[in-house]
Amino acid sequence: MSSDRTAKRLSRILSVLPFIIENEGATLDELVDRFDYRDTSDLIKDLHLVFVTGLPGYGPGDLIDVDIYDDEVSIDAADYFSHPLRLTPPEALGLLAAGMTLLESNQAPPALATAVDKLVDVVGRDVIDAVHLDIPTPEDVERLRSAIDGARVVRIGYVGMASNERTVRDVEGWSVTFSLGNWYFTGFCRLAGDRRVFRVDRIDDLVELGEPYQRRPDPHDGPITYQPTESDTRVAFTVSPRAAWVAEYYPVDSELLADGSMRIKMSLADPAVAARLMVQLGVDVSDVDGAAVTEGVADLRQRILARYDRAK
Amino acid sequence: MQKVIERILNLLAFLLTVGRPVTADEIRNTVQGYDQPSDEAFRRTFERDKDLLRSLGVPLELEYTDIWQVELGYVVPSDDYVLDDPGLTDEEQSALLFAAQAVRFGGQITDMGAIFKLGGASPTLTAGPIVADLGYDLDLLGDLFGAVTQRRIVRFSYRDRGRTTLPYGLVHRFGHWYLIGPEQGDDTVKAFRVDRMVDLHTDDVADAFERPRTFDPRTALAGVTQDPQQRTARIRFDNDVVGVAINRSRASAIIEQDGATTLVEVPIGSVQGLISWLIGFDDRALIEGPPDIRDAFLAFVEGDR
Repeated sequence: MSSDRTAKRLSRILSVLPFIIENEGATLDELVDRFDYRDTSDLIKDLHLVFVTGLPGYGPGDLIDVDIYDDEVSIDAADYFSHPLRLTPPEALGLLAAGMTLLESNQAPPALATAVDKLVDVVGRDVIDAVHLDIPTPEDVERLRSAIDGARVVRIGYVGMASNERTVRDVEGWSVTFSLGNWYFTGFCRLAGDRRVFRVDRIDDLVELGEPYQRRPDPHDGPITYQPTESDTRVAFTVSPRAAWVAEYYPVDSELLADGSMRIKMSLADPAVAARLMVQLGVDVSDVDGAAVTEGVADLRQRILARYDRAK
Repeated sequence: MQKVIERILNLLAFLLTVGRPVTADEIRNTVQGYDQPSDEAFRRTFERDKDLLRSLGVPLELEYTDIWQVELGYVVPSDDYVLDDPGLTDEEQSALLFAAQAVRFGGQITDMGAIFKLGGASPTLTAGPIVADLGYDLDLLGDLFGAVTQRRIVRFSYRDRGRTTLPYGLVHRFGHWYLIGPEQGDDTVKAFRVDRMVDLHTDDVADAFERPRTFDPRTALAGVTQDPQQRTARIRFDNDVVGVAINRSRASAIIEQDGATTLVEVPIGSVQGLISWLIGFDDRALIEGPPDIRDAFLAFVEGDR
């Protein structure tokens, strides 16, 4: 049995006991609901286990007394377990950060603000002077969410990431998610006839159409990640240590070379995106391997300089 | 697993009631479940149990058993064990549960342990799709959070150099977590990206420094990264992309617009950041000024630097 599962089970028992001691006569159903037990029998297994523990001597007066009568639970002789355990730093941060994120992005359910405030009181007021989450949330996020909640199609003006081309699309929304510093809108795009992920800051116009649609869950529920496909462009290049961040931003295969530089292999949906990245890296990139990309780099440089009448 | 949990509950019950430091030997002879046949087997079992208790947040500490300081024993100070009751209502508990389910860390769902410690919660709000992913490993962030709130000095390696830092604050911005504070013996407040830290170690001593009263986590990072001159650039964007440009740069202002292009005044964060951002618009943006920024951009694109 893995120690992680043991830890989780023990942790839950140490939280259930104080609750029962504090709320004598709590029902099995209430406990199952509050502490996310799969069913009553799982809860009873935990209670039976507590029943054979206690203090040295381990006789009738030393063991914890668990009583289940008519679906109501009470516990005796376990005053030392009458308080829940303090939060660990990861637990405290996890809850506070989650709460602050919803508050910062105006998506908090009622009572969350006061809940976070009370939590801060327990963790220490100076948390507010030390921890901050910057979740810049454009108005569009709220409008997209409300369209999803009401299952109304939206029409968006969208400037593509790869092409910088503007298109107008009707989308059946599934979710709006903040990930790695950006808001993303995911849904079924009628123009593409498929699932699409849009970066909200690249939407320049948003209209809610009256038309309803059948809501369905996003089949890729989870973090927004790039999913490579067969038709992607492969590119390899070397970056100086200054530009090693590339390996953290994108899913890549990287290999550290003897002189501290890094050889990177990655795949991208569009060669134009790879070319742009190469131009952005400037002198920090060398030995670019991949014809489509090197051509793209020369073309992009040429086009930008032409705009300044500096084409060579 | 059942036996393990029984044994650890017995150990914890004993430590919470005994009221004095107790040696491993005494635990072995007194607490039910530590009847392993060999010393080695007992030691391994006991070590595992201690680790597990500490991972749950149990303050299991070592203290001398008497004033002659010969032997060390284990003690769980109940003041440090107990979670102060925050007095949450059922509605507040459900709201926290909803938040915990809506926000993830690097794809990981937050462990329910914290919710349970707070008295559990009834899932009255329907869990929607995830709302945010704050990236990173919550255990690592938790260690830094502990160091920040308990004011413990941290040591880590960053850009191939060992650092000893007073952690004033922890900030999430632009998709990254930053630890903010000065290095020991230096007044300059710096920002360290958490995912670039290696070999993090947190000192045992709490309250090792004072956070300046003027420190504000809302503005700290901007103070570290922004152009001190706070200059602006004038950039002409094609109308197709100008909406996106303005979305991205919150403090920008439109100067003039014609049928094809829009001239926008954009604050310069860092020059390199501006150049990189503008390359993202391909040939649909043109820097009209200031001239040094325009020259820097052209030199960069031409590959002169």
